Amino acid sequence: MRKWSASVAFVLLFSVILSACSSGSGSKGNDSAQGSGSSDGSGSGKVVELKFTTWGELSADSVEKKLADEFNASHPGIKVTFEPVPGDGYATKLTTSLAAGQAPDVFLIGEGDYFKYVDKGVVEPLDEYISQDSSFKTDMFQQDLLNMGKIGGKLYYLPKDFNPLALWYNKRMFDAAKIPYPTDDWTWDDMISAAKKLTQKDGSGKIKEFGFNATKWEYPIYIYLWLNGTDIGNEDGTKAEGFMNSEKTVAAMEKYVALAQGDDRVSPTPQDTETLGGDSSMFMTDKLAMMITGRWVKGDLDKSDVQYGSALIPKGANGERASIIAAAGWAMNANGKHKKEAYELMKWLSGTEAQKSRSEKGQVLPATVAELDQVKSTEVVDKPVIEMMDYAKKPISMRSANAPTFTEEFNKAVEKVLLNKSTVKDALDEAAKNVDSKIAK
Amino acid sequence: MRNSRSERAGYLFILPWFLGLLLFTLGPMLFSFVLSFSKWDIITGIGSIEFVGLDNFKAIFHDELFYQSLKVTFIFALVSVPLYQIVSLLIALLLNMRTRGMKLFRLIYFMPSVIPAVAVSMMWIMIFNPEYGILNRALGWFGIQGPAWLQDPSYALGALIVMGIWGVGNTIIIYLSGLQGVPEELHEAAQLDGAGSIRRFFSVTMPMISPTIFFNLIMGIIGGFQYFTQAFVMTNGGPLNSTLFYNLYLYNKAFVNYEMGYASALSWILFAIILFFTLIVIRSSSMWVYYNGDDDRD
Repeated sequence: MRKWSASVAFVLLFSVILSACSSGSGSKGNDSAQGSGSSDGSGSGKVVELKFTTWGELSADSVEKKLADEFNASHPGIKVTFEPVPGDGYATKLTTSLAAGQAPDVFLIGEGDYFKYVDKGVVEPLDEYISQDSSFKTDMFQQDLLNMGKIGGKLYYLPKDFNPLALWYNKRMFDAAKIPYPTDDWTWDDMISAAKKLTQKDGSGKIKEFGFNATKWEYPIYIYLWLNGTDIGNEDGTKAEGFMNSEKTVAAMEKYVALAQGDDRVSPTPQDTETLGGDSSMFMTDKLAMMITGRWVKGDLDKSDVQYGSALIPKGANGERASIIAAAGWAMNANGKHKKEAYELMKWLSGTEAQKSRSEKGQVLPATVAELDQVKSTEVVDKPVIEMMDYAKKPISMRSANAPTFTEEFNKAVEKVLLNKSTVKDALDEAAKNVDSKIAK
Repeated sequence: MRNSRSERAGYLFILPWFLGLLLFTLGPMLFSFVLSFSKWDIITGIGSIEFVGLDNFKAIFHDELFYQSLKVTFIFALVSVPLYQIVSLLIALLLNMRTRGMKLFRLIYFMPSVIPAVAVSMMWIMIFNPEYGILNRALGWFGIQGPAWLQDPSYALGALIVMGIWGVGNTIIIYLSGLQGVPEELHEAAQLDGAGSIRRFFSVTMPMISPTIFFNLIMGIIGGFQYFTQAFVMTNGGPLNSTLFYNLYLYNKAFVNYEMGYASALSWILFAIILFFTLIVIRSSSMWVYYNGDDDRD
């Protein structure tokens, strides 16, 4: 009897493994008709089923849900289902479903992961579809956004929405300190000297209001490094030595970190920020006068009673400007079974109608030129934000698959320095060495 | 085949459980064992699994963060396992007393265990807040300037250990049931022999509940080495990797860096470590665990 059950166990086990393997290999490329009811599409009366996914957008009245319904109504041969995932679990869910060959036909990717997913070969290039489609012209999109979606000369992502980084300032705190608001001529030095005036201590010498947030978040740091003519890695992200620890980087980082160190700091330390509930809530409660962050913060700011403005991120010493656009783009599953239909869906999700519906709620800026120009002419606060787009550069995560190694080591170095465990130079030397030895593997 | 029908029925009854074990425990375990000898980034699908022999294990033994996570986990286990056992046994002893309102106290002590770990973590983030947290406020009344707890590399691990005491309700309940199984007549007999309450605790209570201690100890060791949620929510390994627990590192490798092979190798090393310590406890149990009724067999 025992033998019998053991053999059953083995058979079951193997069938589990075999079926797992076969579904994996089946999804690699060939369009064999697996699920019943899924035909190769056009003409033949049968309905093609598509899925697409985003993070968030879980509410029943979400714009994406509405867009899916409208798409279904206007495309009788295609039935699209919208399957959103809560933000935290998105990457895990997407990668595991890609592994299992069950990934949606169209999925949303954030700019920081654009390169990674293309590098893994799971995203379909769109150039062929677009060149064969006379009805669709990509010049309706902001060129900066389109360029972000291009990797190695091919276009992989169609823009959904985007958030350029800009300088946000608290008007009430500027008024109280009797300082004029930031102008387009500001350099970083101007900003820092304003931050000094805006920083206020209470009776016991403890800082109660900070001038500027020199955050440990990489994006503002990258911008500052670019303005100082340096970066944490070379262009294609294969070398850290001489970049992450170059003289220019060390000098710039010493200056940057000093903003958040000591009793006379003008910026909260990471501990301060955590203690006080995060930079945007500090900003909203008049405890932080300036911060560099993405436009997503606007939604929260509008809900609070803070009086704020936005301005261009200050220039570098030699008049240069730089920014980063945080963006999200639609990608087509390279192993999808109905790519032609998926392309139709992507066009719809990035198209003018979709851009309009999303920006009507005021949450995001439209990615299309015509609609964006309209916003620019009416929304005062968004003007500098939109202008910042012209100076956008690609951070290392958009240039190299090695980016996680760079950012991990760099963040660790910055953390060490901020906790006074190391000097800037030592920490960055060590980080550069670690990055290069990890990449070499 | 004797009784074959009823046997078949028996197998049918355990089939759901057996399938679950196979599909969701043994299958994945086997898969992860195979993966531990391979390189796989998950995203590109099962076809891209590449066998690399012992490379993962070799790399792990040169991995600085592996040793850091091991250190954090061992310190945590070494301090928290005995601490939680002693604290929960003491509380269980108190809860075993016959006074009015005892049910209410039992409820109070068990309640934290019912709250999901993530919610508990969020609450303790507030308690540990250096500026506004209730803990540092309370210390302030005595003129003590509390540290930055979770943001200070020398306090963060300690803070998590202290916090854990709050959630020992499950262990308390098991001890309590063990204590209630200690026959009253043994205590009375010992009392007649002139044993004081401390003597009775060590000579009567302890041996009688030693199987319970044994069980709780093993569960505590396993739980200690697998500590994850609170660190994931509250510190994410920081500051400066001072709370980088082994499981957190494993998770990061698997689902942040997508190095599934490496992560699988890590998980099998953890399995070996837990197995080792559990076996030590089991082997030593003959020396200190007393089973009522064992005497007959000797």
